[in-house]
Amino acid sequence: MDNKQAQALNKLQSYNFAAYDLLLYLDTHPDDKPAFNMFKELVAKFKELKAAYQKSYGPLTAYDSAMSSSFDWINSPWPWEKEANY
Amino acid sequence: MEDSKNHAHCPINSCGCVGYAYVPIQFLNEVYSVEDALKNGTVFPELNLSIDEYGYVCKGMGGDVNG
Repeated sequence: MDNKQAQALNKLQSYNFAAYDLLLYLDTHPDDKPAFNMFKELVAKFKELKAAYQKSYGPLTAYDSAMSSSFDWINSPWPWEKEANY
Repeated sequence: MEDSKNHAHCPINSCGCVGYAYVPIQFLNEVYSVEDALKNGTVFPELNLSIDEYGYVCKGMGGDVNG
């Protein structure tokens, strides 16, 4: 996995993690509007980054290959292959 | 055994609860950037505590999150 892809994946993970942490906060503070807005921003950014990532590197999950023109999930590096681990 | 009736206890005998947790309400203040949040394991600075800090910030022990 080249550095550029690893960085893109790391950014994706950061937004996913932050959104999830806000989700946990919202579980106990459902009416906290600023927190909810922050959560929406993070999720929107995550989706945007995910779409861009997948356009360059293929589907992140098997389900995402449903959005591809073919079942290209099979082409991404398999978990035990070096490219899948960085 | 002392008559346990006098001690405060849960009114519902079948409930069986022996106590309840007191968790102070968290307020949303500052948050880390997403990069720092991933490194620190939380977006909330007030929850970013090392294991030995954990005991001292507890109000009950006279601690204060701002140290």
